[in-house]
Order: sequence, then C-alpha cells, then structure tokens
Amino acid sequence: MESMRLQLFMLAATVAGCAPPFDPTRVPADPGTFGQRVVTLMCKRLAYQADRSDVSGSTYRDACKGGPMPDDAPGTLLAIAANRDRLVTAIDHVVPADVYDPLQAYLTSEAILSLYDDDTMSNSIASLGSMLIEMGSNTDAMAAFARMGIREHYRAAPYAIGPAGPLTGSAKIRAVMDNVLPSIIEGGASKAEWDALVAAISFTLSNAGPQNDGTGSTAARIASTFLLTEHPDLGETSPVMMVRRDPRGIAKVALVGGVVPAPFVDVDADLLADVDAGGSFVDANGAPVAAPDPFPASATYEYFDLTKTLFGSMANDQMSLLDPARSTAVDLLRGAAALLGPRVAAVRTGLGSSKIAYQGYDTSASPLLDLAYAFVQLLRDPNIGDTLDLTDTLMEQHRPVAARLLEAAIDVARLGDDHTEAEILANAPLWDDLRPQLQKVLDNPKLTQDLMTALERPEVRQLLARFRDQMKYKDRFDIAPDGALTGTFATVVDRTQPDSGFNRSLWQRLLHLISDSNGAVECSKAGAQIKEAGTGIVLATYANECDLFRVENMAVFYLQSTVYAKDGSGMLLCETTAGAFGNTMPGATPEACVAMNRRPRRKANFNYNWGAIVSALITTQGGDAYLETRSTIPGFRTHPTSEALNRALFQTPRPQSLSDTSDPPKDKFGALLGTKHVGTLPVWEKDGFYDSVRPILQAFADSNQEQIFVDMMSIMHKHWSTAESTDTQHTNPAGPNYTMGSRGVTYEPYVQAVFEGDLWPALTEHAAELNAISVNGKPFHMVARNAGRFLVSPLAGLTDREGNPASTTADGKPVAQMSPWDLLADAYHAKRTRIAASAEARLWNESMHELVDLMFRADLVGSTWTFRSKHMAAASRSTTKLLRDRLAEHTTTGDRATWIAQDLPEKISDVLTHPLFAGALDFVESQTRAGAPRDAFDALLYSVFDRVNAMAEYDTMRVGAADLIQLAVNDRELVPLARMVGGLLDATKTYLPVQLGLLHRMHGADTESTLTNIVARLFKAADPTNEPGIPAISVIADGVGDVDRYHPGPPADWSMIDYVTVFRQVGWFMHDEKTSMPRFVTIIKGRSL
Amino acid sequence: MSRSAISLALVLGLTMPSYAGGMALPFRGVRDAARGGALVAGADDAEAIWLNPAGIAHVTGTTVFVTTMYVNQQVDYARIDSGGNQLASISNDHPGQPIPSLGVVVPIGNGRLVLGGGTWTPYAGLHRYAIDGAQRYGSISIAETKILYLTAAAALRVTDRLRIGVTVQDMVTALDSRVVLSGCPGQTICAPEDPEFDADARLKQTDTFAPSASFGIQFDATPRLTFGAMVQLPAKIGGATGTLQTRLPSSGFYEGAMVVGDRASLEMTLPGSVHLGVEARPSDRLRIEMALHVELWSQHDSISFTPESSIANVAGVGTYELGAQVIPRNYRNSVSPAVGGEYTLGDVTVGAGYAYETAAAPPAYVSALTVDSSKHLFGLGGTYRGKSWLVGGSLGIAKLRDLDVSLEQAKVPQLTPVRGQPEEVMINAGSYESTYLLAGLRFAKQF
Repeated sequence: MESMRLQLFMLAATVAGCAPPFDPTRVPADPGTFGQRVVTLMCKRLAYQADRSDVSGSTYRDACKGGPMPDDAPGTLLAIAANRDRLVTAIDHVVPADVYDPLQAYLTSEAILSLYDDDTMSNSIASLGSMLIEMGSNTDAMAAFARMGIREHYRAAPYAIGPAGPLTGSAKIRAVMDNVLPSIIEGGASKAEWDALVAAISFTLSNAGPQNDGTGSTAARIASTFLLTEHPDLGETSPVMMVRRDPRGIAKVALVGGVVPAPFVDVDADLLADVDAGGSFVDANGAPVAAPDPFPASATYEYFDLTKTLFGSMANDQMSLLDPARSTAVDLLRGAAALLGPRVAAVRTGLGSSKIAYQGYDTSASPLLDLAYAFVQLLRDPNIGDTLDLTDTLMEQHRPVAARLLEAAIDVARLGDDHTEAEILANAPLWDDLRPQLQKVLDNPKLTQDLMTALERPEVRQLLARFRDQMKYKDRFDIAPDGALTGTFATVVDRTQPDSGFNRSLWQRLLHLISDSNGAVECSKAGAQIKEAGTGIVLATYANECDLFRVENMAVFYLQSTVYAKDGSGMLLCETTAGAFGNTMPGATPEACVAMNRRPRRKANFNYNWGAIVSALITTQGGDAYLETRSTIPGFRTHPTSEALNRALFQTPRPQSLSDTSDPPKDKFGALLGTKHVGTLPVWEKDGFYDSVRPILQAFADSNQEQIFVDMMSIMHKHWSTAESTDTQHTNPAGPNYTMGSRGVTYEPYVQAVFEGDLWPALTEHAAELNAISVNGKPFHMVARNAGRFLVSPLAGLTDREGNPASTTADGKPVAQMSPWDLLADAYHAKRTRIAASAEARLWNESMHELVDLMFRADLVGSTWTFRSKHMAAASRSTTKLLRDRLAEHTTTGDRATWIAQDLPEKISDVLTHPLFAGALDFVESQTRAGAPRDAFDALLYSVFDRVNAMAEYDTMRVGAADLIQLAVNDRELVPLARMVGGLLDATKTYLPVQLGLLHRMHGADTESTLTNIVARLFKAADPTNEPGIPAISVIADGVGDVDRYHPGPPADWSMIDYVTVFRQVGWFMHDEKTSMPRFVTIIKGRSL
Repeated sequence: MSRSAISLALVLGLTMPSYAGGMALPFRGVRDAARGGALVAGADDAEAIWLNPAGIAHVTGTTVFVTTMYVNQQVDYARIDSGGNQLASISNDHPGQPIPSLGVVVPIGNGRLVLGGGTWTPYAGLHRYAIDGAQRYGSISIAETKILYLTAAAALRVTDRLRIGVTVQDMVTALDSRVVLSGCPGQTICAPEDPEFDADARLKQTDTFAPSASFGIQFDATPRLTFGAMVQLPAKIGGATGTLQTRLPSSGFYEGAMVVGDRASLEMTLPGSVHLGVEARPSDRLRIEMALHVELWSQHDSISFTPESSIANVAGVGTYELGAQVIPRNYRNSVSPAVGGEYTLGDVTVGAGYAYETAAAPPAYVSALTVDSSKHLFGLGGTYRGKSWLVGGSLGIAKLRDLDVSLEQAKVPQLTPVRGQPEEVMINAGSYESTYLLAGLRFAKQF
C-alpha cells in the first residue's frame, strides 16, 4: 500500500512534471591550458583516425588528456602521448594565457576571415600541401635531412635557437613586414626585382654541386678555414664555444696522440672518425657508437672559441656595417653593382641544359672586375712570398708601427675627401709619366735602400713642413745686394686667381725653375778672364765658351751642391778651406769633418779648367778660400754650396768675378734665370731646408741618380699648372715652356694638409725600426723594393682582362707592355670615370671608406698605436696565409700561372656577375628606391647585431652564421637540399608567391602584432630550464613528426623514410578535404548565412 | 570551425514534434479507444466533435463532457552507433501522461442544428531518456510538450437520415524538446559521437494559432446501417517564435564560446486525414463498425527550423550564425483499418475493438524521437448511463512491430550546427521495441 502511494506520488510528480532540469552552464571537460586543450584535441583526432569504429572516442579519452596510454595503443597515439608534455609546454609558451583573447580577436577579425571567403586560405593551404608532398618525394633531400637530423645539440644551449630567433624576435621585424612584404607581392614596387632574385636563387640552388677549385680545396673549406681558425690575439671576456665540424658536417672527434681514439675507428686513416651511411659514428664492427652530443661540451670533440676566430671577431663590426645611418654593407653592394658594368641581357648556363636569362653586366666594361683582376695579378710577383711574410712581420712584431702608418695613410686619404678641389685632368698622364721614374728608383737597390735609410735622419722629419710652407705661400725670396736673404712666409696663394706669376706658390715656382734648369747647360763665357784680386791684372783668359767650366745640367748641379761628395767607400770627403786645392780626409759624417776642422765637400763640381799656372796661383792664395773671397760669395768654390749658387744666380749686382767668367745663367729655353725665376730659389735657405732635404737628395747623389730626381720634379712641373697659368704655354708639347695644364696645383691645399698630418712623422720616426726588419734573410728595403719594382715594371706576359698586353697612358699614348701599375691605374681610372657618372657607384667609395674606417683605423692609446679593430692583425694574418696557401697549392698542381691569370679572375667574375648577385643587388636597389623597405630591413639587421643592447641575440646570430659556414663544406647534405629548394622556387611553381600573398594579408590584419609576437615566440626556447636552446617550433615539429613518421613514436632517430612520410603526411593534411585542413576552411567559410 | 556550429543543430532536434508521424495513435477519445478506433459512422455523442462532427447532431440536449486518457509509450531501443557498435538498450523513462479533453454541445432551436466546442489533445506518447544515453542525438525528452486543439463545431441534421458537421480548429502547441547536438567540427579533432562535443539543447516554442478544420457526414442508409466519413484538414505550425537554450559542449574547443540570442521558429505541417466508417446495428443492443483511417503523413516530409541566434567567440571563427535547416522526414501515408463494437445491456454498454495501422515513418527515419512502425491496437471499455449523465472508461494497447534499422538503412542524421561536415552521421540505427498502454475515463452530463 505504501509502495502504491509512493508510485502514485511519483506518477503524479512526473506527469506534473517535468523534464529533467536544464542548466545551460557549460562544464569544461578540458580545464587545462591552451596547450593542453590543443594536444588533447590532436590526440582525439589521431584516436579517431586510428579506430574509426570508436565514434565516441572513449577508448583513448583519458589517455588523450594525459592519462596513461595503453601499451597496445596505435603508434600515433603512443607518439603523441610521449610528446604530450613537451608539446603542451611549447604551445603554452607560444600562446600564453594573456594571448588567448588577442589571438582570438586576430583570427576572427574580418581581415582574416575574408581570407577564407575569397579562397585565399584554401589556395594557400593546398599550395603548401603540394609543396610538402613534393619535398617528401625528394628522397635525396630526405636522406640528407635524416643524416642531419641525428646531429643533436651541436650548438651550445644559449645559441642553439639559431638566427631565426633573434630575427623574428626583433622589434624591427614588424616594420620589415609592413614595408617589404607589400613591395614583393603582385603590384609591389619591387615585384619584378624580387621575381628575378627568386629565379636566380632557384637557378643557383638547382644547379648546386660540390665545389672544387682544382686543387682539392673547396671554396667553402677555404672560407671556413679563413674565418673560423682561432687566433691567440683574439677573444672576448666570455668565450663562445662551438664544436668543430669536420668536412662531413659532423662534430670532429678530438684526436688523441694524433689518431682517432677508441671507441671510434678510422679505417680510412683520414683522421676522421668513421661513420655509417646515415652519418652515425660506428666502431670497428660497423656497430653504432654511443657518442655523446657535442653539448654539453666533452673531451670527445674538438671545440673552438668563436670569439677567437676572425669571423667571430669581425662579426662585432656588423653593428657598424649595418648601422642604418650609414648602411655601409648594403651600400657597398650597391656601389659594387654600379661598378660591375653596364647592364646587358645575359644568359647563364647551369647543369645539363638549364639556363637562366637575366639582366647581367657587360663585363668588358667593368671597373670592379678590372680592379679585382689587377689586384689578383699582383700575385704574379715572384717575391710575393716575401711581401706576405713582411706583412705578417709588420702585423705581428711591429704592430704599433703598422697601425700608425696605416692610420696616417688613411688620414691622408680622408683628407683627400675633404679637398674636392684637388683634381688632375683625367687625361693627364702624371702617373704614367712618373712610373718610369719610380721604376728607375726601384731598379736601383742602393738608391732605394739609401732613401729608406734617409728617412731615419731626424732632420728629414722637418722636410714636409718646409714643403708645406712652400706650397702655401707665394712670397718672394731674394738675395739682397749684400748677400742677405730677404723674404718671409707671409702671403698665401690666392687660389681664386690664376696660378700665374707670383700668384703661384713657391713650390710651383720651384718646380718651374727646376724643370727649366733640368738640361740647361751653364758654361764659362767665351773670353772668360781670371784677374788678380788686388790689381785686376788678368791672369788668364779662356777664349772659348766652356773652356773654364761646363755644367751639363744646372738642375742636377744644383742638387749636387746640396749634397756631399763621397769617396768610393761612401765616406765624406772632408776638405779644408782650400777645398779642391787641398787634400781631403774621409769622414763618416759632416760632424766628423768639422771635428777635424774641415768641412764636407759638396758634390757639385765646376771642374774648373784653370790651367796649371792659375791653379798654382790660386793654390798659393788659399785655394777655394781665395775663390770665395774673389767672388764675394761664401761657399762659391769649386764644390759650391747651394747658398752660394743662389747668390751667383740671383744676387744683384752680380759680383764682378762672376761676370768676368760667365754670363748670367739661362734656363734651357734661353731665358735668364735671374729674371724669369727671380724671387724663388732662395727660399730654400729658410728654416734649414737644405739640411732637411739633404738626406733624400744624398741618396740620389750617392747612386749618381740625381737626374731621376730632377726628372721627377720636371714631370711634376709639367702637370702642375693649370691651363690658365700664363707662365707656361699649354698648347705645344714640343715647344718651349710647355706644361699640360693638368692642374696638379689644385692638390696644393690638400698636400699641405697631408704634410701637417702624421704620415711623414710616422714614416720618419719609425724608419729605423722598419729598416731593421728582415724577412727570409732579406732586409726590409729589399722586400719593399722588390714589391715596388714588380708593381711599376712592365711585366712580360701581363695582359688586361681582355688579353691585351698593351695599354695607353692617360693621354692616349701607347704602352707596349703594361706593368701591374698600369693595370691598377687603368682600373682605377675606369672606376673614377664610372663613379663620376653614377651616384650609385659613388656609394662604393663611401662604403669602402666606412669599411676602411672600421677595419684599419688606429688610435694612439697611451704611447702605443693600436688598431681599433681587434681583429686587424688576425685578418691580415689570415689573409696572407690564405694567399700563401693558395699559391702553394697551385704551385704544387702546376697551374699557378693559369690560376692567377685566368681561373681566379674568372671565378671572381662568375661570382660577381652571377644571376644571384645581380638579382640581389637589383632587389636591394629597388628596395632602396622605395625607401621604407630598405630602411626597415637595415633597422632589422642592425637590431640583431646590436651587441651593446642585445648581446644574447647577437651571439646567437653569429654562432648561427658561423655554423652555417662550417656546414657549407658539407656538400653531401647541402647539395640535395639546395636542389630541392631550388626546385620549389622554380618559376613554374607558385608556392612562394602564394604563401607570400597570404602572409601579406595576414600581416596586414595583425594590427596589434599578435601574430608577430607568436611567431617570435615560436623561435624562442619553450622550456629554457629543461630544454635550453630548443625553440618551440622544433618541439612542435618533433611532436608532430613523431606522430606522422613512418614508424610513429620516439625515440629512435628519424630515417629517410620517416622524413618522407612526415612531409607527405603533413602535405596530405593540407589536402585532405574530408577531415583535415580544408575541412576547417570549409566550416569557417560557412560561418555566415 | 567551431563549436558554434552546434547551436545550429540544437535547433534542428528541438523542432521535432512529439506528436508527429506515427506517434499519435489513431484513437480520438475514450469511447473511440474502447471500440478500437472504429467510431466514425457511429459517433453519436458529444465526443463526436473530433471523431466526426456530423455525429453531434445526434445530441438532443445540452451536454458537457470531460475525458482523460492516460497514454504511456514504452520504448526499448538498442542503438547501433555510427561506428557500427551495438550499444546497450535504453528505455523511455517517461511514465506516460493523462491527456484530458472536455467539451460542450448545445442543440439549437428545434435541434436540427447543434453547436459544440471543446479541447482535445492527440494521444501521443511522450518520452524522456537519459541525457547521456545512446539515443541522445535523437532525443532526450519531449516530456513537457503540450498540444491542444481548440475546436468549435456545428452539425446539422439535414434530414432524419443525413447529418453533416464541421469543426473549426485552432491547434495550440507548446513544444518543449531536448536533444543533443554534436559540435564535432568535421571530425577533424574528434570522433563524431564524442560526448565532449555534445551540446544539450532545449527548444520551447508556443504556437497559439494554427487553424484547421474538419468536415463530417453521416448517412443512415437504413435504420440499421450508417455510413460516416470525416475529413481532417492539415494544420501548419509556424509563425511563432520560441526560445532556445543551449549548453555548449564541454570540450576545450568551445572554451570561451557563448550562444547569443535565444529565439527560434519552427515550421512543419501536421497532415490531414480521411476517416471512413460503416456501422451496423443488427439489434438495438449491438453496434458494430468497420472504419478506415488514412492519415496523410506524406504531407509531413520535412521540418524546417529557423533559429535567430548564433554562437559567438568561436575559436578561430568568431561568430557562427545558426541558419535554417530542413530535416527530411519523408513520411508515408498511414492506413489504419479498424473494427469495433458495443453491446448495451441496460444502462451499461461495453465495447471492444481492434485496429491495425501501417507505419507513417519509414524505418530509415525512425528514431528515438519518433518510434513508429506498423502496429496492432486493441481497445475495450464500458459506459454506465445514468438518467442524464454517463461515466465510462476504456483500456487500450498498441503493440508496435519490432523494428531493426541497420546502419546502412539509417537516414536520420546527427544534428549538428556545423555546416560543411564531411559526411552525415546517422544516429538511428538499432533495434526498436515499443508498446502503448492506454487507460481512459470519461464523464458527460446532459442538461
């Protein structure tokens, strides 16, 4: 009964009642993080794919949420379960909680959703899928991936993330995306250039093959050795350790006692631990060796400190090279492009029948290639080894001197930049004219040595100050009737007025004087008389002109009056006041002569033909002392001083004794020197000029090469004046008094500035140290002379790039056999011409200047000159070693001459005119024209190389780049990968433009930088504590890959077939319209009615 | 895609009326049940309003009546899920419900014209299942659904042998349906019946104006033989707007999503029907009728539903609009021959009858929402007549033919708001067993 009532009650309640209460509150089944939810859903997908009958997903529901996965679960589920924690961590790292809402707002913005509506998304996904499938079909590349994939922990944790980390994490990446992306998509300002660049990249990569220069060395190996060899003088406070890779790209096992230690084996005795086909170390039985990962570092492998390498150190300069304010690196490339030659249609042939048509360069008119060729030809020097060794010696043992000299030289060059008025006519063959003279100097070992020794003399240090004054002022300097010098440095040249008359600098007038005197013969006049001093009785008469004396070349004679005569032993001839009428004693120095109460005899010698009687009379009267007295000019004796000659030439009234024997001197054109060149020569008596210049002139004199000197002065005179100067004529080269109007005078302000600089002091102060250097048993002067001589001497067999041995001077005169100097001169001439005509070409100079500033400048630190660049010495050392090694290799192979003359220049030409280079430069140029893209890109690069504010990112960048250099030798892996990428970029395929189009629009929608920041986090370590240096994207890729591989699941290394499967599976995921990405797109596309 | 899609589906399931198709038994009153549904020509009291309005012309004095019929549909359903797995059998937890009706009939003037009016509810089985039961994609509950015909009737005794009648009806419906929709987006991240992608949804819609009408005729061919016919016009539900409650799936995929808007409208057609009968009265005490009911369920080929809501903040999608959908029903006309009779002894009348009804719902479209198949119906009852009143009762049973729907046959798709699904997931495969139990009482008084 009671039960019946209850049932009735229940019945009534139910009838009255009611359906189960409805609570619309959602009860989350996955209350975890975003990463947990995502991985759970991934797992659920896999679970259903593995068992289509489990439509409720109950079998693996708990396991998919982190519970224990049954051992007999499908491999895909085992794989994702094993990776669950890592994946969750990575995803949560990429999309932390505070990003949920911004990400959702971004993904659901109209701009993004429209990508689904207009099929952009579906097309992009399909394209990506096709690309991945194509990649997966490339078994060579997949095998390469497999071999590379086993190389884990090859970089230390702090840098393992790779360059993508800093690049994507830079605050500047957004600006790049804002500006560069629009420019390279359809309709973009740089679209055409971008397409050309991509085509070039595709061509290049598709045609990748092992590099070999014929000697067994590859370019990559050479570069690796050059850049990644440790130098003891480099290094930073905090070392950046890297494992040394062998040519196979594998960590190099450290040798023990010179051999590969156990358990590794080296059957082929190449000092590399043997590996199997997959790249794993094996033992003698071919079984895998349980080798540790390179990092954490162990004694198993070889390591190096990147900061001790040239690359690591030079990377420190990137910040300067990439400084947007200067854009040195990029502008250098732009300038190089402008110097490569006029653009012409070109075709480059690759492997098989592949070709690429591109806008190349007319290499027949390429100043840059000319320069490169010219410098390469310097390697022809048979003494190049000495030169390289000398360079090493300078940099290693005399670095402060080298630093100072280089700094001074650069300073000189910089001064030139400031003196734009300094410009010699382009067709003026000044350097062509000087070259033979330089050759003469260098052909003379003694002269060269003496010149270099002369620099040691302290008085020489003042020389340039004298020259400076002479170039600056135009004052008259005369000899007063009483023989006194008149005139002061007071009036500077008015350079707004023509360089005529006394508006020429003293220097210009002196050159004129020397030139006019060079070749002028001075003789005693016909009927010359010698009179007794007291009575005026004529002692002797010389009937004919020149009977008494004859000076063959007044310029040379004057030079000789400045220097001292020497005996066969090189000792000075110390004479008494009797001079030529007395005896001499040898003296080492002028001071030694004085100590003997004598004086050093001047070399100039009138060689008077007195006759025996007169000679005897003079002798009795005191010899030369008598002659000085008779002439009333001190020093006017058989071996006259320069001062005496000055008075003989310019003192008025002219002493009678002089008039008795000679007429007023004339220049080689018959003009009176005292008139035409009045007011000039006595200036050399000012401020000890003769003392300063004497050591230099003495060198010429001691080698009896005074003519060289005066010829050089004459050449300078020829090119010194402007065409407006009225002191010479400029129309008839064969006529008298001709100068070319080359405008050398415009250099005077510049030269003055140079003379005020440190170059001369540096040279002279360190001359003794330099001269004491010996290389390979050869003194410094010899090595320098050999190098200089090679440079300026016609070289048999030397041709220009076109194979022509002849050249022309600047004014068009033929040069039958060119010298390296000619080659360089022609190249520089062509470069200057191009630069004058092209604003882009001028960037070369500007950037080179900046590069030089960065690399070669020095400062006086305390009392020691020090290169600003820490790696200057190492760079020099590496460069000389590189050249030395290369030369040795080609000497061994017997093709050294061909290599220098043809192979190397052709390689340089191939590289510089390669479609890739041309494409890159054109693209940079177009980006520059657009403005903002270039600025953004510059700023990005600058930011990641900012070692001041972002040291960690900077180290990551340089480690990544250095490792790429190491890997560049790894042809076995790189070649197939390169070919694969090249194929993907082929113009017939649209993978890249499609993805760029999508990226552009996705970025355009990313107004809050949500996507940008997510991408940045993808390339940051997801779990810095447990997996330092492993970027989140790698973790995610590992996790997904372990699922999709041929045999799903960790931990075995991926094989080639695994990679094939992963790529294909992921590609399939992009294509499968049923339950994969296209399905998502379809559903989203259908969100609105 | 999204969880959003779910809400769309919500709506679809909710729209399925409990009374549709073969769920409404062919009985239309306690007396009708007692005669096994064979009461068209012989309908001659106030309850004839819904059996054959011509029959109220027999009423000679003002009569009021009230009836109630307890209807219980027992259902056992052993589902085969879309993966081909045989699931445990589930049963309808709903205990049945009393279905009342009442009315009044008033002769006018000389009694040739009789007017009447009343309310009536079809005898449909309601159900309620476990929320997480295997049938959830078909239905969870329609226990709270109400349907009521407000009817005004008029009959005219044209001659002593000919009577005609007509009713004007307004069908008032209060739908209250719960069903589970799947928010699994295209099987991309889930199995199609993963309960964590279930969205529990409840639709409540009241439709107060759905006009219809019926026409009846009775003709006494002889004093012992009467023919009758009645035509019921169809009724169309639509034009009203209901409310939709949704509980979004628990899966993390729907984290942060929400339903915006709770309005929805449903349209569907309830079929017309034709009823024929011939009653023989071999004696004054015995009445025997043979009837044929034809329900035009072919008019019920689909249900269309238009929600006015969306799911907002769907991950990666934002707002997912819920659009109108058409659910195919593809019902067939049902035919139900019936035979029944009454025997009167003094003040007591007893009756009994039998009917057989073909299925309106093709097996492919049978689901937990609408368990229908051909059925055998038995009824019996009795009436005690007082001086001016009567009281009666009846019992009935309808045994549906057991039905096995294979997965290949199944055509009732899982409801999902997600457009663009890769394939439909059929959710109605399995074995169905169902029996209706009826017990009714009636009371009438003539003034």
